[in-house]
Amino acid sequence: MKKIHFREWGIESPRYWGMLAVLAAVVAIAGFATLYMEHEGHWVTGMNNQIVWGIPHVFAIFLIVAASGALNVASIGSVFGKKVFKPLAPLSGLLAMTLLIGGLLVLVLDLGQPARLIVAMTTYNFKSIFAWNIYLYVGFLAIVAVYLFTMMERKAMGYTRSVGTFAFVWRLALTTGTGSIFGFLVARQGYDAAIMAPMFIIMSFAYGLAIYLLVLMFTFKTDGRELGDKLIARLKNLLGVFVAAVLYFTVVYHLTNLYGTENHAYEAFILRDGGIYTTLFWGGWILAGCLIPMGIIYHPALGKSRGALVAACSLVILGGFAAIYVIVIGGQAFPMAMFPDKTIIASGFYDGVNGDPLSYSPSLPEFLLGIGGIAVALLATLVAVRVLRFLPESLADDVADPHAAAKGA
Amino acid sequence: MIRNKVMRLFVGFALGLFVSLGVAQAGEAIEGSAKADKLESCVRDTPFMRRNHFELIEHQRDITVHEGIRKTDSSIAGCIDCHVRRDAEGQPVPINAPGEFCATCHTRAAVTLDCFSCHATVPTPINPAPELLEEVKAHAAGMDPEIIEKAHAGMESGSAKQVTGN
Amino acid sequence: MSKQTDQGRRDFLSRAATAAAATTVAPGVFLHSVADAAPRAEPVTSKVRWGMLIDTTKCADGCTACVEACDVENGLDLIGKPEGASDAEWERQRPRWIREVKLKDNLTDRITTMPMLCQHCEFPPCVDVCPTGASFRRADGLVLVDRHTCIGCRYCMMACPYKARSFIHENVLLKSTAVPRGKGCVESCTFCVHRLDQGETTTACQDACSKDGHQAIIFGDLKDPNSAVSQAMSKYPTVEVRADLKLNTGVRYTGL
Repeated sequence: MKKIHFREWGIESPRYWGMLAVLAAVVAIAGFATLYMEHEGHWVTGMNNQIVWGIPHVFAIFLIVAASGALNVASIGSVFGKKVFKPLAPLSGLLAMTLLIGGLLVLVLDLGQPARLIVAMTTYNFKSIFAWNIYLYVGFLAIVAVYLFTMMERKAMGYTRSVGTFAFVWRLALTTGTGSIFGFLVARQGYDAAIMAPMFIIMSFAYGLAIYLLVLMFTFKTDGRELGDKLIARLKNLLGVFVAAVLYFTVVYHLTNLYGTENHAYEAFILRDGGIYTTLFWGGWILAGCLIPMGIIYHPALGKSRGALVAACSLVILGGFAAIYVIVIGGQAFPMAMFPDKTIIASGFYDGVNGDPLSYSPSLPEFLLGIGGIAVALLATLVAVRVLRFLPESLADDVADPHAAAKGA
Repeated sequence: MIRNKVMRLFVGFALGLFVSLGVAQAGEAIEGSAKADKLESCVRDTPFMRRNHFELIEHQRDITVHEGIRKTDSSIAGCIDCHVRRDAEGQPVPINAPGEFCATCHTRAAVTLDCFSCHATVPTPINPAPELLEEVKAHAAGMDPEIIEKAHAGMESGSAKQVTGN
Repeated sequence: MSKQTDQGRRDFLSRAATAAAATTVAPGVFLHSVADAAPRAEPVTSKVRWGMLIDTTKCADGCTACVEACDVENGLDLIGKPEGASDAEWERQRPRWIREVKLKDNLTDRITTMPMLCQHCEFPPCVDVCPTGASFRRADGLVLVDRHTCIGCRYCMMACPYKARSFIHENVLLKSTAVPRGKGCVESCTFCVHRLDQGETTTACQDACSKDGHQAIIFGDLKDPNSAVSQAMSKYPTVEVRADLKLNTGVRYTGL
C-alpha cells in the first residue's frame, strides 16, 4: 500500500485570493447587518413576541447540526477502523470545527445582549440544556482540535483512536443536546418529543456528509487532485443510507404524532393546512431533501455521475434548511394549545385567534447574518486547507484503498 | 472585574453614542443643586466611595433583585436621587450627561457605564401626568432622543407618585 | 425642531411642574399606599406565596382596565413605536405583561373573557431552561427576570406555556425608576414587585379592576389562610391553565 501524503491546497494565488475576497465581502456585509440589528434592536427583524426564534436560528442550528455530522467521516476511519476513510479524516475534523464556529457565531450575534456573552460563560443554570450546550459546543471544538493534532502530528498518532472515540461520543452528546433544545419544550405541540434528539443526530449525519462531499469534490477538482470512483461510491452510498434514515425518522415522528388525538391539529397544520410550512415540509424536507437525492444516488446511471452527486448533496442541504425551518418556525407558528376544548376568539396579544397561525416575515438583515455564518465557516476552511496539510495529495482508488481497487479490477 | 471590563468594552461604543445624543439639549445644571452637595459625605467616606461605589451598587443590585431588599443606602435609585443636579427651571439633568456626576469621573477614567442602558438617569415617578404622557408618546413615536430626554426630565415633577429604593 | 416649539414645551413642562408641586412629597414616600408601607429590609421568605385569583364571570367583555393600568404602572406605555416600523409588525413586537383573551367553548359556545398574565408557577419552565439563571423564582413565589444576567436568548419565551413573556425589541429612551428596562432583555409580569417590596399588597391590575367596579382580580398571600385570595379560593372551585403540566401556578381562575 502506498503511503498517503498530505499537501496544502495549491490552487493558483489569484483564484484563491479571489475566493477569499468574495467570502470576506459576504462576511463584511453580514457584519454590517448584525451591527444594524444590534444598534436598532430586534424590531428591524421579522422576529416578534410570538415567533421568538427566526432565520438566524435556522441557520445556526443547521450549521451546528451539520458540524457534528461532518465529523462522521473521521469517526468511521478511526473509531470503526475503516482504513479507507483515514485519509479523509483531517478535512472531516476541520469542517466539524469551522461549521460549528460559523453556527455559534450566528447564534451568539442574534442574542439580545451579545455583549453579555461573558455572563453566559460564567453564570450557569445546570438544569438548562442551553447551559449544557455551551459546554458541549466549546468542548467539541477543543476535543476536535486535539483529535486533528493526533492525526497530523506523527508523535501523537498513537492516540488517534482513543481521542477519536471520545470525539465521537461527544458529538453524539452534542447533537442530542441540540435536539433536546426542542425536545424538552413541554409548552409547544410541535416539540416536546423525545424522538427529536435521535432525529437531529441522523439529520446531522446526512447534512454533515453532504457538505463534506461538496467541499471534498470542490477542493480536489480545483487543485487537480484525483478522487477515486470507488471512494466516491462508498461515500455516496453512505449518504444514501443517511438520507433514507432521515426519511424514516421523519415518518416515525409524524406517525407517532398522528396516533395521539391531541396532536392532530398540529399534524394537520404541518402536513396539510400550514401554507409555507406545509410547502416546505413536502417540497423541501421530503421531496428535495430526501426523495430526489435518494433517487439520484440509487439511480443506475445518475448514481455514477459526479455532477448528479453534487446536485444530490446540494438538495440534501436545501432540504435540511427546509426541515430546520419547519421545525423551528413552524413549531412556533402553530398556536399554543392553552385552552383545550375552547377556541380563542379574541386576544390582545396574538394568541392564535380562531387557531390561525402566528405570522413571521423574515427581514433581509436576518438572512445576511445567517449567510454570514456559512461564509465564516467556508472562509476558515479555505484558509486552513491552504496553510496546513489537511488534504491528501491523491485519493485515487489505487492510493486510497488498493485492496478494494485490486478486488474490483 | 475582567468580566466587567470586557462588557464595558463591548457596550461602550453603542452606549456612548446614545448618551451623547440623548442629553445634548438638556438645560445647564446649577452648581450645588444636588442634594448631595449639601451633605458632609456620601453613605461612606469619600475616598471609599470613589474606589468602591460600584461594589456597593452591585451587591445591592443582587440582593434587591433576588431578595427584595429595598431599604438600603446603596441603591442606584438612591444614588441618582441624591446626586442629580437641576437646571434653572428646577428640572433634573441626567446624571450621565457630560459634566454631570457619573460622567465626570467615568469619562476621565475611560470606564463605560452600563447602568443606564436600563436604569433611569433622573428620578421618575410611576405615573407621569396624563397630558405629559400624551406629549411624550406623541414624540416617542418618532423616537427623537432630544424630545424624549427633555420630557423625561419633566416627568420627575409630573405626578405625586415617587418611588425610590429600586 | 423650531425654537418656538421648544420654548412652548419648556413652558408646558414647567407648568406641569408647578401644578404637581402641591402634591409632591419627599422621594421614598408613597401616596397610594397602605398605612404601614415601608421598604423591605429583610430578605423575602417562602412563608409568603403571592398569588392571584381571577373570577372570569366578573371580567367584563371589552374592558381593558387591567391592561392599561399595567402599561402605566410598569412603563410599558413609555415605549414608542420605532420610526419606520409598520403598525402591524410593531403590535407583534411591543411588550405586553397582561392581555385580554376571549374564549368560546367548542361544545357549548359559552363565551369567557379573562386576562392572561405570567402565572408565576411553582415549577416554572422558563426558569428551567434559562442558561444563565437570569429567570428565577423568588422565595415568595414571584417568577422574575434578573436583567443584569439576561443575555436575550429568548429560550424562556420558547418554553413558557402561557406566552406570558415579551422581548424588548427596541431602544428604550424613556425609562422609569421603578421598572428599569433596556433593549435586548426578556421581561414579564412581576406582580408589581416594586410595590410589594415597599410593603404594599396590591397590584396595579387588581386596583384598576376594583376601581372599575368589577372586582374580578383578587391578589394576596396564598399561604395566609385569612387572606382574601385564600378565602375566595377555599370557597370556589378554581382551575389552573394547562393543569396537565403540573406547574402549580400562582394564578388561578374560576368560571373557566
